[in-house]
Order: sequence, then C-alpha cells, then structure tokens
Amino acid sequence: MDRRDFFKKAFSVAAVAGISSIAKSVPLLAAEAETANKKPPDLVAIRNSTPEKMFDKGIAALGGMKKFIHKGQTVVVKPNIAWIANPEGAADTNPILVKRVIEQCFGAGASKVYVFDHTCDNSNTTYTVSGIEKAAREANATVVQANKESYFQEVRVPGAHALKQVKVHELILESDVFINIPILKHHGSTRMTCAMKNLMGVVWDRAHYHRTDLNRCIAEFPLYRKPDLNIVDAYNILTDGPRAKSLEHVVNKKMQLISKDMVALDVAASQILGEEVENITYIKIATDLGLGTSNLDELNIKRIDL
Amino acid sequence: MKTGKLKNLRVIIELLFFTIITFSFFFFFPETLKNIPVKIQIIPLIISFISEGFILSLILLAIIAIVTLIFGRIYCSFFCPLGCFQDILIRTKKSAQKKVKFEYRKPLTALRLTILILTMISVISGSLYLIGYLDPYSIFGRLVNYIIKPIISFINNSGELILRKADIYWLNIMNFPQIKILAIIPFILILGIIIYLSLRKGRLYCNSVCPLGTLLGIFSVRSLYKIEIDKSSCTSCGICESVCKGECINSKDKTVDNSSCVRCFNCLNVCPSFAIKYKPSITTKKVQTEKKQNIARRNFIYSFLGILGFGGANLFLRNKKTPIKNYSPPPTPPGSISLDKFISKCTACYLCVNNCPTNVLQPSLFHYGIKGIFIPYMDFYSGYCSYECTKCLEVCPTDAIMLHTKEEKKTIQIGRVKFIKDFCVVYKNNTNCGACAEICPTDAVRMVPYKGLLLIPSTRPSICIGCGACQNVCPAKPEKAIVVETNIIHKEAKKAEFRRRKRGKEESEGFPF
Repeated sequence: MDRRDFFKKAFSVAAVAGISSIAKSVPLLAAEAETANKKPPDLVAIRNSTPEKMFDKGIAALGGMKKFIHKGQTVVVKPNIAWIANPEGAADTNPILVKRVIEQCFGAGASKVYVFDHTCDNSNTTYTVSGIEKAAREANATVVQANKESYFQEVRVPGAHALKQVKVHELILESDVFINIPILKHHGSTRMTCAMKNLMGVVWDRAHYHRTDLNRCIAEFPLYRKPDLNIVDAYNILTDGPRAKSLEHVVNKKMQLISKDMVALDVAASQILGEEVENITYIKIATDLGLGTSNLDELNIKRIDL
Repeated sequence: MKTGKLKNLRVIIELLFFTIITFSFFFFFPETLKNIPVKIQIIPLIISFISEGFILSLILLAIIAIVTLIFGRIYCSFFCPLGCFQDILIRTKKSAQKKVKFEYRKPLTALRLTILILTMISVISGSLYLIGYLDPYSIFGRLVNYIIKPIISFINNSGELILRKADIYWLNIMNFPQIKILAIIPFILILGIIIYLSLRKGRLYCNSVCPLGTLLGIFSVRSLYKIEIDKSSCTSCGICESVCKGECINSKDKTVDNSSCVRCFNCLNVCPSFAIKYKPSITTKKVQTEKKQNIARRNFIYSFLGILGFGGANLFLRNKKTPIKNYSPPPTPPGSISLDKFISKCTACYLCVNNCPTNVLQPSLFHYGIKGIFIPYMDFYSGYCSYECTKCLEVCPTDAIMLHTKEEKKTIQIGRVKFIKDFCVVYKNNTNCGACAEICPTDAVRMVPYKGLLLIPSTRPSICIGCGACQNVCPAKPEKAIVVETNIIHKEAKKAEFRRRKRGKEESEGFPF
C-alpha cells in the first residue's frame, strides 16, 4: 500500500466513521474526545495576537518543535517571498513569524536552518524589501538564492499526470525537515494561495505549471514531497492578490493555522479568506488524490483565542 | 610635491578610477562610489549638454576645460578608463619583455583634426555613429560588457559552486551577458586595433584617432603646466624618448609636442641630467620650417580623403530610411522619452545593460534599424522592467535615459499591453493559467470569469506601463498570448484606483470554521 492508497483508505474510513458517529450516540463522541485529548490535534488555529506569540502557543499545542525536529537535523524553511513588498503589503510571509520559526528550529536542536524562495520579482530586491532576509539572518539561518536553474535538480513525481517530472531546489532534496510557511492571500488565477500553492516556490519551471494545468500541477506536487510542518500566516491577508498593489486590499485578521495536513489547512484558510472552497480547484484535486482531509469536521482542531 | 612623485600619483589615481569604473558595471557596487568617475566622462557630458542643455553638465565640462588648460591632458592618463587599459597592456608587455622602446613620431595632426571635425559634424547633425565607436569611455564600457564581465562572472560562478558544495552561501550566481556575434565583430575589430597600437606604438590611438584626445590636445598645447626640456643640460641621450608612451618627445631637437603628451609623467624620473621638467611656462612661438608644413599638408589631404569616405558612408547610412515600417521595434527604457531621442543620445556604453537587475536591457542589433544599431533595447524574452527599479535612469552618463523619480517612472508608458486570445493557454487548453495577471504591477491585466471555474485575462491598456512582465512570463508556446506594443514616443499611464475589498467575516467574530 503506497502513501496515496493509504490516504484514500484512511479518508473513506474516516468518512464512514464520521457518519456513523453522528448516527450513533453521545457516549461514542465523548470517548473520541477523550482519545483526542491524548493525541496532539490535527490542526491548530490561533487568533488575536502577534505572529510570534501565536506561533509559540500553536506549536506548544502540537507538542512543541521537538516533535518535528530531532537534534542535529537540517531544516529548510520555505516562506512566501515572491514579491517586492514590505511586510505591511501582506504579499510575503511576515518576517517576524519567519524569524520565530527559525529560532524554534534551533531551539529544538536543528544543526542548520536554510531559508529560500524562488521569487517572482528580482530575487535580491525581494529578499531585502520583504524583510525576510534580515529577519532570517538575525535568527542565524542561512539565506539561499533560488534565482538560477543550477540550484535545482530534476525529480520524478510518482502517480502524477500533469507534473511527471519537476526541477526541485536542491535544499528540499538534501534537508531533513521541510517547513512550509505560506501567507494566506487571494490569488487572481487560482482564487487563493496558501499551503499547496506556496510550494510553487520550490520548483524551477513555473511556466510548466501555467502551461500544462495550473491547478492539477499544484495538487500533484505533494505526491513528490509533503512538508513536515505547515504554518499559515493569516495575520495580514491580501484580498486582491497575489501581488501587493494597494493597502486597501490588506485585512488584519490576526490569525495563524498550523498543521501537517496541507489540504485541511487550505480548506480552513479559504474560510478565513471568504472564498468558496468548491471554486478552488486544486483543493478538490488534492483531496481526490488522497493528499489530505478536506472535511474539517473529521479533524481534531484545536482553537486558541489569545 | 616633487615632480618625481607625479608618476606615482598618476598611477594611483588612474588605477583607482579604472577599478571604480569597471565595478560600476556590476550591480552590487555601492551607488555613491559608482556615480563619480562615470559622471565626469567627457563625451557623455558633451552629449548630455548639447542635447538637453543641462547646466550641471556644462559646469563639469567647464571645470574639466580649466583643469586641462592648467595641467594639460591629464584626463587621458588619470581618468580615462581606456587609457588605463592601454597603460596596463604596455606595463604588462614591459614586465614580460624587460624593455619596451618608444620613438618620437611626428604628430598626425591632419588625421586627428579630420576625425575630430567629422565627429563634431556628425554629433551636431544628430548621429552618434562616430562618437559611439570612438569615445574611449564607451569603448571601455563594451570591453567590460563583452570581455571583463564574462571573465569575472565565470570566476565568481565557479567559486559559488565550490562554496555551495561546501555548504557556504556567500556568493550569488552572476549573469553572463548575452553575446551576439554580429554585435561583437565590429567591437573586436576596434579593440584589436587599440590593443595592437598600444603594444607597438604606445598611446597612438589616443594621439591620432581618439577625437577626445585631439580636443584635449588643442587645450593642452598652451596649457600652463607643460613638459619641457632644458636645452642647456640635455645631452640628447634619448632615455626620456624611449619611455614616452605618447611618442611626443623629440630628444634630438630637445622638444616636446605637448598636444600629444598624455601627461603620464614617465619621463620625469628617468633623465640622468634632470633636464626634463613639468612646470609652468610661457610659450614662445616657434617658427615652423617650410618642410614641416609640406608634410603636414600631404598628411592632411591623405587622411582627409580616407576619413571623408568613412564619414560619407556614415552620413549615407544615417540618412537611409530605417526599416521600422513593417514591424514594431521593441520599447526603449523608461526615461528615454522617445525612440528618436534615445538613438540620438545613446553611445552604447552598456552601463545600463550591466546594471539592469532583471536583464531586460540588452544590446540590440537591427531592432532599431541601422540608425540605432547596438544601442540597448527592452528584451521582454530575457526579462521585464521591475516596477520599483530606476537603476538605468540613475546610471546613464549621457542622459539618454533621463533621471526621473520612482513615482514618475511608475507612470511612464513605454508600450501598451495587447492580449491575443487565440494563443492563450486558457482558451486553447481550457485550464487555468493567469501568469500574466498575477505579475502585472498596475492591474492592467486582470483575470475575469470565462467558462465555469475558468478565468481569462482582460486588459486595460490605459493603465499599462509596458513593463513587459506579462509578455515575459506568458507560458504560451510557440507565440506569446500577451505582448507589449511599443510607444515610439513614451506616454503617461493612468493610475489604477483600488477600492477597499473585504472578504470573509470580520476578525472580531472568531474562527469561521
């Protein structure tokens, strides 16, 4: 049974369990809640504080960073650093959050933390203006470029139709732990960019995505590799993106989502953004591929109000 | 200061300027240092003044003229990057062969005056052919672009790879300039001539071809400070003559041709009887012999005929109608006002090309017809113009790309977007794309509902600035589905207005799930 089958089966079992649990009675629900208390939640949602405080609380609820990073491991952190925009523009991941995630990585014993993104705008300027280069360096991370093809290596994506081969940044291949820190934004073409869409920044040839089938390529990439942890920055969100054109489009939501399940994150994020999940095609494709759970009711979600 | 130390001073300043000018062609070099040596290059200043009438350019030119009237052609040995390049070649040859001997040569006055006059006529009539090819700074710019930079890039990129394999990320990969064979051939020819002449005959290019050298030479003849030989103590041993790169010391007659002297000060340290000096003097007119005049006249006629041929060809080509009719030329960089203005002011030094962070600026071939051959153009296949960037406007020494503020630049419309639905991925494949809309900085391209969940681009050319981002990223093959149509004369783009757009529930209401 490969991973895809596993998720497919797990998904159907969970769906059946969900229906039967509603059909049955309260005692079963209570029993489930009891076991859930012992297990860490599937998804943590935090709101109403600063990005770094929300992350501290959220990762603690998941059992701490040590659950994800063992001593001496190398970590690659992939924020969204696509556009030349300062942090207020909400086009790139909040640098304060990036910094705290890196600090937590080192706190958990990481030997080295790398930060990169294949930017859309000119790489050097984007790294600087977004504030992420400075924040990452302050936290002792190694800032790496992704603006030349020589950083990328071709890999095969098992079970993919549109994205059979893809050139991936060598750090994704080499690092032990992969942490994805997207910012939640509206997107003019896919309607939303969040966890799965953010992974377009680890590949070289994005034109292939656009040319072939954008939504399917986005959904198929996780067949190759899923991040070990995803942290959705929804502190400031952009309601007309992905590029920061006007501050009129920035809404201060003060939220954050943390999970291993990108599909669940994208579904939850779409509700924060106020976008119909049915309209976001790649979520549907990813669910069908068994890459995660799109029915939030099946998940153990921990909500933290600060 | 003792005159003996003048040579050391010259070498230090020369190398300093050479280094700074060379690194001005690298984007990482600090802005403040970058501007000084490039902005005092004389021919760019002249072009800037005669085409735009900038007072600052005039003031700088006046200062340079006064300095030249006092000290002579010190520009040639202190500030000219091509001069320094030749000095380095001569020096290298000297270290390799031990002795390089120069010999006095009669100045090729007729040749150099003819070149100067033709260059001036051509500049005044609005053509930059001669000056673009002959300006020492612009030649040096192309030398950096085609030779020095690729070498440095190669070294840097090899170093980057080695360090990266050792998990050290100190260096960034540098771009190689686009090399076009047709563009590089005439450049290699001129460079080859300069290298050959400098190795065989010292600064012969500077003294006989370079129109700037001739112009400064005219100022230099009667400069206050001059190289002079004290006839009573000179023994005509010829040592000074043998080290003179300008080949302007006649040790037999004990005279120095100060119009050809580039003020390298090599001669000052070598005289065993301390007869040669750099000092203020009052010139006494020397009576020229009739023989000299005859030779000069013959020289003049020969070279005039030769140059007339070249100049005539130049004028003929310039007046030929440029074949812009049937195709739209690519846009010129923002700040260049119009294609005609750009062609009449750009000397193709490629400083902007090398400073462009997105590589959208590239040397052209026949994109602007023969009239605008080799000047930079906006190549939307290799990059696009970054919305926030004003680099080329800042560095241009001739003001062919005129300085504007960032906010002004954001409204300069160098072209307008045109969407060709038949080529679009969304129309052809029925899959979502939207690469053009997401990269558009002004909202001139937006995705609008098409079929079912599909969205298709919709354009608003009036707010488009023609940055070419959409054209650059459009993944459609073989033809791009979205292109920029050039504004031959730049226009002003309207500013897009953005309304407040809220989605979802208010943050006070808690989690929506």
